[in-house]
Amino acid sequence: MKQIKLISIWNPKGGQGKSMLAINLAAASVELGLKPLVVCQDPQGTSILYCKAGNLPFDVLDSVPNNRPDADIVIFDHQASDWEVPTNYLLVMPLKPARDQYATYIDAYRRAELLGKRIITIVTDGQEHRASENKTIKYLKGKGAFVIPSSGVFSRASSEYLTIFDSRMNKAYKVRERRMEINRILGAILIENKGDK
Amino acid sequence: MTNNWIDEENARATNLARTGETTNNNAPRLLKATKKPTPVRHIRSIYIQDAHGKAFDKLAFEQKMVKGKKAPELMEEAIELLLKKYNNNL
Repeated sequence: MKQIKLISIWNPKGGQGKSMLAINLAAASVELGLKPLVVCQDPQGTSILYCKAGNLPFDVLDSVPNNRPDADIVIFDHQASDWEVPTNYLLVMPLKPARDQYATYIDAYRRAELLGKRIITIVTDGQEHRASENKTIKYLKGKGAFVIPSSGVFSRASSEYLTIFDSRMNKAYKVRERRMEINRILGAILIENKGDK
Repeated sequence: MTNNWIDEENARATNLARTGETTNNNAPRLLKATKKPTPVRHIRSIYIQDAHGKAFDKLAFEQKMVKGKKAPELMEEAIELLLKKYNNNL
């Protein structure tokens, strides 16, 4: 039976980049020749909206499928305010580097840590030229976090419900760097052998 | 480099995690409506006496009235009891 990698994108704080990461990690895995599936667990349905726009090279489901899906990687896009630690092993937690955002992240992180989860932290929308954010970014980088800086690439892609891997984004400023950052995160996810599949 | 507020937040979160509470534990909490997956069932025909059939139908109807178990679940429960009686497993 084909092994399926399960990933939960989770942070109870809203607006940290959960859906952005879900759809872009899925798009990056398509580039690698994998078959991803995004399961939208958010009533806002951001990932569903991307899917309905018809530009995604993968499926987005509105709920957990009853049967084992034909996919290599299943990405659960959790909703904000969800304090229940996801049941699968590998969690991806995006956060913005401001103190109030960090406070919620670290509360949720500690809960997941107590349950023995493997957590990959992604600092999103960081502005390293701001001293306060720079300090937090450096600290989290030191703890093994990945960083996706604030970039117009994402807002440009979202204005048309595209992933940043869409060919229409090829000429966007610094799109290559942003794609590489997403690819690096996907690489870290894929080399994680332990856990549920 | 000093990480004053990071250290403060880390310490606060560590203490909070030990209690299992959130910062505002009195706030309304999101409740997940998770659907229990329906087990796959197939029709099986068995020969039984009318009296047993009628008694089972009556029981199933009574359960339906009180929104209890449905006929397939009752039949499964009966089979589980039989298996237990004869030291068998599913």
